[in-house]
Amino acid sequence: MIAIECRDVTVQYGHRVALWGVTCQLPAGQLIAIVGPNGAGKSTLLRAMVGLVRLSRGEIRLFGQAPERVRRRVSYMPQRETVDWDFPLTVFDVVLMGCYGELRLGARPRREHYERAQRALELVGMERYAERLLSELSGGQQQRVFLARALAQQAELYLMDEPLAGVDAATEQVVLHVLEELRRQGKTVVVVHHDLQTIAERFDWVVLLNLRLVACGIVPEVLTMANLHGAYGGRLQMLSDVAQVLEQRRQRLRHG
Amino acid sequence: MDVVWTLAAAATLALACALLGSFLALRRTLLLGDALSHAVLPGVVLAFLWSGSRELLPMLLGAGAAALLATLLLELLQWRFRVHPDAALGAVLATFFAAGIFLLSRFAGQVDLDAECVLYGELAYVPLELVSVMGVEAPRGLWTSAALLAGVGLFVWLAYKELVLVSFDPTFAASIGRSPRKWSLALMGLTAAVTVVALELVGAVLVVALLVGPAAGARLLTRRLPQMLLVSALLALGAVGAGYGLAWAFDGALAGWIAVVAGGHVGAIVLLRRLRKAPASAQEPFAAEQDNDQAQQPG
Amino acid sequence: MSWLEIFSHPLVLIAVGGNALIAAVLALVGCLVVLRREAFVGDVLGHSVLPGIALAFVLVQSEQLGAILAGALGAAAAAMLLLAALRVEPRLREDARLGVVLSLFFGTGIVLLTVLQRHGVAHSGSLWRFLFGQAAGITPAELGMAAAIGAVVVAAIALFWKELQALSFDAEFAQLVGLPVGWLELLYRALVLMAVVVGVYSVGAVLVSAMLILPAIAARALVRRLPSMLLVAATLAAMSAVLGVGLSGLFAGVPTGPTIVLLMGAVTALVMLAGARQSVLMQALQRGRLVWQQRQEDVLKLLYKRIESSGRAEWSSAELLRTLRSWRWSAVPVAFWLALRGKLRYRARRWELSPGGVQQARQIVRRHRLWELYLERYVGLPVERLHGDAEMLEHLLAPEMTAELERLLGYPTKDPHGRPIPPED
Repeated sequence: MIAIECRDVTVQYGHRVALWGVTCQLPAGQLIAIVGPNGAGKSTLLRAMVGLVRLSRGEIRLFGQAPERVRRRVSYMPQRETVDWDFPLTVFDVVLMGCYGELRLGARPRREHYERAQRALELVGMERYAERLLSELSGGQQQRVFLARALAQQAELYLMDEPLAGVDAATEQVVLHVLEELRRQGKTVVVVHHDLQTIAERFDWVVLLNLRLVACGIVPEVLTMANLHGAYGGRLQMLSDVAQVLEQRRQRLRHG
Repeated sequence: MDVVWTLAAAATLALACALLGSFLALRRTLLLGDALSHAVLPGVVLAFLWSGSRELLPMLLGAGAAALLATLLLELLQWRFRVHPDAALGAVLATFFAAGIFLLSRFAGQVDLDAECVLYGELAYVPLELVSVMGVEAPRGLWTSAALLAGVGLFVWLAYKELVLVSFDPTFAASIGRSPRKWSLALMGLTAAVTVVALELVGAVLVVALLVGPAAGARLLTRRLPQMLLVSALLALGAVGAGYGLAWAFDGALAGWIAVVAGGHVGAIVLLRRLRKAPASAQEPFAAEQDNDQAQQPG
Repeated sequence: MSWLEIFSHPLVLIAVGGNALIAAVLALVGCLVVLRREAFVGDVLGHSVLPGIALAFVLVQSEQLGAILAGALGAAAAAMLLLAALRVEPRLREDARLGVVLSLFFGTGIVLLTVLQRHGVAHSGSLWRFLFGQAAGITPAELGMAAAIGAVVVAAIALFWKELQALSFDAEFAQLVGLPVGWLELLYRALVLMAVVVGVYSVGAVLVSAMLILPAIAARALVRRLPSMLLVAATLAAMSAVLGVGLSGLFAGVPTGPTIVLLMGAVTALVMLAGARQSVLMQALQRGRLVWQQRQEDVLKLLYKRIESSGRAEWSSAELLRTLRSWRWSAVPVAFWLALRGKLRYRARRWELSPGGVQQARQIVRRHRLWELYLERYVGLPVERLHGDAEMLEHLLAPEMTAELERLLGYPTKDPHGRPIPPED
């Protein structure tokens, strides 16, 4: 079964191109990694999959439908820096938010939701921290809280943006263990990641991205020297040069 | 009896402001509240001129229109013209307020508001205007602020989890289908409504005190959001009570004293916290690092 | 009284001159404030002078200029110190901090004013002028004070504008470079205090922040460098002040202070809409120019390709019109313009591209085809998409980039459609 289908996905911010003509099909029930150099559009692709980014061209289908229609089945875990960790909330408060997608305005979380949140915390090894304030957590703990929230959503498709960035070894183990557990349950997990070694060892599929799709498929086929060179070798420098010229011209328009 | 009416009106207003102010404080948009409280003035004055009376509905509409215009200009200035948010707020705030004062002075005879009222409201005059609603007679000011409190309270009670969600993590909120932008606008609209009612009671400038003070104080004293809301309400009531005591003892506008207490107590709390922290040693960050070593394996 | 009589009256002159001077001084300091992104601090300081003025009045029992000034300065300075002191509390964010200081000081001010009013202290009613200003009622003594403060401010800025500029843009860098950041900060703060206090005499405490911010924003939109920004801001401010005083003098019931502020707001809005480099008008003009240039290139390309496909290099008027209209009827005026510029010419009753036109057209076609090849090889676009995307990109390439592109592609001779790629001229 196809979990995600991208057709000619293009995202443009004014004159800057973030993604160009990405077309691929990602299978369900696999651990999929998205890799590429900085600025390759990995986060943008993920956000586009959740429907947070407007596509300039092309379309995305999740389980055959538009992203907005299958929100309940998709869980998105953004990068840690997007949040104010000084908020007066406890760990449990945040994890419980994972259930909010099913609750209408004015509806309160029920017992089943509380139990779900509790289980999610246990899965990431943070049940002792349920009543801790966010401001008291370390980086790795924050990431685990985010992960627990995602698990509480009980989705079929999990999209995670750099879940392993800047975390300690213990947290890394927890996260990887959770990912494999999800795969065992038949869920689809798409992860933006930067470490090729881990990907080679633990992931099934990989999407190699650099503004456009370089390659997409099972790990041994995609992680070849030719492909890696194509992604990281800078042959798309020309395109980003043009983007720069455009930007400069726009700047000159504004200041000249 | 008059005292009771005045205090009741002030207290209900303060509670509404504390509730709303708490969320504004968490979202760090308190200054927007300040800007709106100034920006609605021309709208309110124009509504006055148009309707010839102090009816609430035209004033709310006028305030709403002014608030909308101010918001549009703010967005334009910040995104289209790259003006820093600080400067944009200050510019819009001052220009709109100048327009309001201009209208007030120009049409001084035809408008029931005067400059003093704009600055510190008319809490003392609240008991003078009694209105009968459903057989119960109470001051108009109390009815409006009670309605406001009911409105704000209902909003927060219904939308509590949504408000917390979109304020804490707008990206995640958007990913599960909520619209942070719509909630932002809703809060802005609510703030505009609060400033209109407050304008009459405590004036445009001092409403800031009620929005900022109790919320900021509660933030410093509490650790969790529900407690913060509760404490901000208590601090608001305290400010009204203490303000009244001071006004009774030393004379001077009630709204002014309430503002002094609302602002001053935050300074006092900061001072106390500083004095307490000085001898204290290991704080939260260290505790977190210790726990890290004992990180558990998933069960 | 006629215009001339009104404006030569000494009181009026004083009002006009005083307000213009004050507005200019505030605009100068306001430039620094806006650059440092402390516009709201200016607002809070403006409101904060109130308790100081009231206290001074209580102590001196009169509106003596020196006492009021001292009171205002003292209060504003105290507010500044409190703002700085409150920084120690990380949980008190900047917006809350500003609100707290504003409430405390302005609340105190209101309390003092109303107490004075209730106790019927002589002339206390006129203390209200410090709230909304009484711009039209500036006395000679106040004018003198404004002039003195103005002189200090102008001197300070003239002497230290480079250092102040460095401080405003990047305080860390300024420190690294060895500037006495501590003293400069002190100077800046002193300037702000003086400006705020003097501004209260014109438009009052509540509106003084507008005089700080508005001219600076307008000037910023017009010019980049600090010296010109200072000049523009001061000029706009003075003009608004003069006009404001004039209007309020001519029409009854028009309050001077708010009028001046509204005029400044109008000027700022006008600048944003029309004059500024970023303004709507300017950007539209620039875009129009670009589009026109692109249209010319497109027509040249069209004609060149016609030459390629038909083998003929000249056409009758009817043929030319047909060719142009088959692409876009708006190509006709473009061709007309090209003819005026000499790229297209009429010889022996036939139209043809001049040698210059041919050369330019050839280079454009060359660029386009190189882009198509690049998009096909490196981006993997399907053939039918190539033309459109290349069209989008080609107009922006500088000549050096074309050479680089050719090198990258290995000096090809044919584009993806099999058509020849013209060599470089």
